[in-house]
Amino acid sequence: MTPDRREFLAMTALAAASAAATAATAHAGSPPPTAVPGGPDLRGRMGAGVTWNKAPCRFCGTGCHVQVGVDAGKVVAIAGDTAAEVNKGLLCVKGYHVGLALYGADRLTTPLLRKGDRQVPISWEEALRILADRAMLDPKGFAVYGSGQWTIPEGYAANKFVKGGLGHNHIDPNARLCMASAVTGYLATYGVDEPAGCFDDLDVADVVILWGNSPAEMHPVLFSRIVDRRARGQSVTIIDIGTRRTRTTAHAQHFLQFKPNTDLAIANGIAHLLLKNGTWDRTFVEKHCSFRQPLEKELNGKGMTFAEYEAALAPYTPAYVEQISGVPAKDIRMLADLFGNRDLRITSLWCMGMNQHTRGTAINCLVHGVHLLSGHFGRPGDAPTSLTGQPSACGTVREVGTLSHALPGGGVVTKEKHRHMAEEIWNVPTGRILDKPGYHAVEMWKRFSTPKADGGDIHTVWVQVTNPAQTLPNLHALVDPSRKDPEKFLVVSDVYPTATTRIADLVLPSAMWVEKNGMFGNSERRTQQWFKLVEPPGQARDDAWQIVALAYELYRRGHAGMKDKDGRFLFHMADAKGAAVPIWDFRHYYDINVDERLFEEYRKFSTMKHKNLAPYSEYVKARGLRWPVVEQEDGTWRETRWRFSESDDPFVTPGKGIDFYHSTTEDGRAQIWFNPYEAPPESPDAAYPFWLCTGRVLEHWHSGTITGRIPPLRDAMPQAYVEMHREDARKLGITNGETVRVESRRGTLDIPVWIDGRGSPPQGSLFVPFFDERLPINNVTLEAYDPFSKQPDYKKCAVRVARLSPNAAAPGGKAG
Amino acid sequence: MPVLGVVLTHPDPGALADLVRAIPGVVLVGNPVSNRLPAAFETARKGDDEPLFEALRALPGVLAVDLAFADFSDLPPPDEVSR
Repeated sequence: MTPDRREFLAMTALAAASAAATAATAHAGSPPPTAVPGGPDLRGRMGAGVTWNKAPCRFCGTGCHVQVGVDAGKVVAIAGDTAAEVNKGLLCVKGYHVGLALYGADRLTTPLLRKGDRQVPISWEEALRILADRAMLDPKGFAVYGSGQWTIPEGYAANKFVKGGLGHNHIDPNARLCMASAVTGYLATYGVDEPAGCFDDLDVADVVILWGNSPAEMHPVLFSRIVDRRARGQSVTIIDIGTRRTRTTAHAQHFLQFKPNTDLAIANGIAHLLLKNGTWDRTFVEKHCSFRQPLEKELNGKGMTFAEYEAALAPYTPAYVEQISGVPAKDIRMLADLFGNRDLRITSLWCMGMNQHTRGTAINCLVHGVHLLSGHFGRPGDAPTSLTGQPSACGTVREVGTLSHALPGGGVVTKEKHRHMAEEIWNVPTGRILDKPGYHAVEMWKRFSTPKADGGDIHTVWVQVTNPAQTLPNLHALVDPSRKDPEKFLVVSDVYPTATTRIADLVLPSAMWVEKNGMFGNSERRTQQWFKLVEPPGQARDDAWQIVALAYELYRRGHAGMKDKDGRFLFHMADAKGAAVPIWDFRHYYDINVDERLFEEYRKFSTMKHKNLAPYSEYVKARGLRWPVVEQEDGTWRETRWRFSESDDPFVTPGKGIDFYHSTTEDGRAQIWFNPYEAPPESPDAAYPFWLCTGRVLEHWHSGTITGRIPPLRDAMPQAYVEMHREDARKLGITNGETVRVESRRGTLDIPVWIDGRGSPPQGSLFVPFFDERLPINNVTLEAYDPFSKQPDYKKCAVRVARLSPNAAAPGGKAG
Repeated sequence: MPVLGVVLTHPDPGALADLVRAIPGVVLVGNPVSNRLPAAFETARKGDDEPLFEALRALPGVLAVDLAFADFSDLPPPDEVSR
């Protein structure tokens, strides 16, 4: 690089940073525009050859927008998008590597078919023929396992293909593993999914409570948004309720360390004191809430009176909660006093900690209940808000309904009205959609790993955009047996080799991120859009195209499900003159905007549950819009920041103030739940004396498929490790960096110890991140799951630790 | 040679400027905007930027280091990644 160019780039970098600093300051707490035109003025910078376009980041559920600089068909620069409300021009360390994510050396570029121990290149035509053979073999045994990284149109196409085409519901996403309990929590409380609040709450909340959540590592831009307020002299109290100290803890005024699984007792303890102290919001509750208690197998439980609710909470005194949870009684009182103060604004945030829990639905309901009981709901800054780990867990999974029981727009397959609506929109015959939910993730993989003769009725799983051979729990039980059964066939669409592609029978190379058109939906109901900016490598192709192409191959072979009522192809699309466009032929896939066509069809579902979406063209102009998005009299489209609140939600009946218009009791009321604390399915004992918790780290995203190929991130955190308390290590004679064997009743893992590392578990607890394919902790974890959400509990199981070899190098590259 | 633009969050960013300038790799420091300080840095290799981020994070009073711009147009093709 010449000195002139270096200087020029440095000045460009400083200008972008200055613009971001200005934008972030100017945007703080400001009202949203209806649509965000323009963007940062990057034109002309870095030379005339570089073009800039918007896209949401590929990684977490925060939904930051970036500006993508493209030169000569390659992404060459990334800038934070100053026009984006979510990140206001700022990005985390992962976000700026998103451009490099495309350029790992070992991208998959051709379909591969397993022949013996090898995977050999084949043509797309042959790959599709093989896929179709498997589907025709027995369509009801052909399952699709998708992802919260699917774009909205991809997930919609897959959902339509399976539920409207194959005529069964065996489609489920990896998001089942990360946020299904949040879904059931919202449904059981409000009758409709997804947060009422939004990220704007973080700009005005007086107190932010983190329930088993470490946004400093997992959602850094959001966390930066909170701590930035302190730097501006504002008071914001951060309370970290967790089972181990993390980077987030360092910024918190209060760290409440609880014993695994006992968060239910803490929430009940708060509710108990609100009643006892008379600090609950009687007016809010009497006007807007009912009380609910569990009933076996019934998500909506059964009603209870206030007196019954009060009696159920009576045992949860501060002393009793301290005994169960280990959190001092004075801290339970502190939490109750905060919630009892209506002058404060309180936002609760959570993610996997509360969701990956065999009592995930129950604890989600309880946290909503504490907010409702105390009236900390419906005002800016007063909100219980779940976060998501994937960029479109909300948009593609929850809204498009790619869960095995769901239909687009919040519908469910068990409701005739919802099925009919889908059949109408898809123009397929009545009765095409099966009224029985398909297999959820754990069940799908269990069936796939069970011989047909023993009830294993899933013969083929097609995986797209995820890595289940690393991320499912108890891999020995859910994945490994299928690989020894010649009747089982695993198909994987991905961008890089992964633990799952390596064991696959058929591998399909996919385009990623700005190599294709796309749409995501982030954690705050924000739908985002981007255009294809560069070509995918080799023969890598869009995931949605792969689905359409298989559907067409089945249509060609006469599969009745791939025809609509008029005998046309299920994904029939026509050009402006009405002529069919052969989108199943990749050469013609971009003749029209398939994403737009799929989205506009999907959008018809969105009014059913008041999740209204704007036309595709509005998202082209905006940096995302939060649903419900409704058209104004002047023809503009307005997003909604706070649902159920008359001040902002257009669907609230005027004069009601707060209106839970999808109430499960159909009276406009939300449900305040009582759910008792119960012991976890597996706890440490004499044979397995440690708790094991798993999770993520700042540098790596999910299974490390992408971040493991970005040298700075890989070098900063080169391998997984087990965090262990110094005193536990001393007792076992273990030194820092030593490789130990972590063993559960299901499997073992040999892994180096990191004492006083990134996080600090208490005595008797271990933590292992799951990003490292070479150190798969999910050989050890437990597949027990929540009875309602079916989400497995990765946060707690019993293990033991044994020494193997001393004097190994310290992990993480930093400990020692 | 990657060139990065960063934004540091600090209660008194004006007082931070000299400390930031002293970090090897930092080539430009902008004017504070409210509680934020923009800066640009350049590293010889892609792998050198993470330690620089850590050095910025470790400065007294720094609450956050966010990224605003990254240019990697001059990077050579990636080496085969061993995993």
